[in-house]
Amino acid sequence: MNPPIALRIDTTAAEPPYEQIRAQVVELIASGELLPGTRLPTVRQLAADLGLAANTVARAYRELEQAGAVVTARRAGTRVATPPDSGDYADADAHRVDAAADAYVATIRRLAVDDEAASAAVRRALRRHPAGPSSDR
Amino acid sequence: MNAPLAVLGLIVLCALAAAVTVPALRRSRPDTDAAMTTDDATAAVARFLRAARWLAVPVAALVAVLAFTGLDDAGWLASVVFGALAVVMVVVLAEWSAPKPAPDAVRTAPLTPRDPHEYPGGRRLAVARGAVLFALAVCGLGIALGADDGRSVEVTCAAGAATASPFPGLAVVGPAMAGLVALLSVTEVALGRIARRPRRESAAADDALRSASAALVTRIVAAAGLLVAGAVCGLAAMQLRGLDGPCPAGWRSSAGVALAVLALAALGALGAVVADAVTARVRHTTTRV
Repeated sequence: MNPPIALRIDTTAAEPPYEQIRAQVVELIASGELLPGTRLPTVRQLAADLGLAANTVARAYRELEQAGAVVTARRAGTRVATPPDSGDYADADAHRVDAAADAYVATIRRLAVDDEAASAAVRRALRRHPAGPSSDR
Repeated sequence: MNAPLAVLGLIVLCALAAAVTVPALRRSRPDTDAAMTTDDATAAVARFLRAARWLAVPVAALVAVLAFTGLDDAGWLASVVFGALAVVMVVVLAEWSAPKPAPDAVRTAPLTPRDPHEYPGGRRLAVARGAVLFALAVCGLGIALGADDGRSVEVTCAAGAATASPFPGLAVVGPAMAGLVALLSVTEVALGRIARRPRRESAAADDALRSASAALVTRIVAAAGLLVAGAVCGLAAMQLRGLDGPCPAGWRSSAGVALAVLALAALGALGAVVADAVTARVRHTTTRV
């Protein structure tokens, strides 16, 4: 049996705990470990398990929701969002691409890099790693 | 005594008794979590919860005695319900104040939600809820059939009238019904609290502790509901069938038989709940040996 997916929070790290939660969830979605529709624990459960204030976890969930990575419904709880249909990719792939883009944007916002420099960095990275035959869809 | 005030007083008493006794249990043991191994820490939680369960027995007995003596005709049914309510409240407070993991700098938590209803199991939860709803329904029937005084049943016909008491009317079942509604609500709170108790590293042992607490809560709730339902049905059946007087038996006879069957069914189900508890206890003891 696979071990359950877990979050790891370092309270001595420079990054605040809510940001660590947000970034790890985004990474788990991008890597495909958290699939669309997967239910996440409640704010209070995760806060109790991590020994954090409920507000800290609530802030992480709120930011994930604003980024479109998760959706919260009153009765169904918080679930990994199903990505909008992107024509070019299969749903799961589109979701992972969106999540990877979210993670990248969150990082450049934290580094206070402007949008033009961020886009230029993506273009440079794409030139350094040209698409191979396997990624031709 | 004013019944609504007495019921409110009993609910507050249940909460107060649990609030005073459970934290005392917590303070009596030094918090040595930081120096404990994972297994020791889980064992400490298990010991604390077990002690709280034993503590629930005298707390429930105290509340039951006060309900019995303070509520006149309604006391015998209310003592069962409020005794059960006290046990569930002790479990809520015990889960809330159980020793928590030491706050390390690096912490982990699974991203798997814990559903409050998964620990007692669907069947046990359905039995507990069904038992309470069944008890509420038969209490409602008793109120509908009872006379205006709320403690007798009266039948009138052209030839005269006949009365029998005690009968489970409003004065007899009212406080128990209020207690049953409170019991349903507190059960949901308890199951939520059991699921939310901070997780321990030893996942299997942690789940076993949650299941044990949830099973205790649902068994107590089911037993209280079935005991009340059985007692109300039995008393109503006895009084309806034994009602002497000039009026023909008519519907009373068939209603009495139906209520007697319901009483037997409730007591049979109560026996199954007790057997389930005993079997689990024996299995647990055998596993430990």
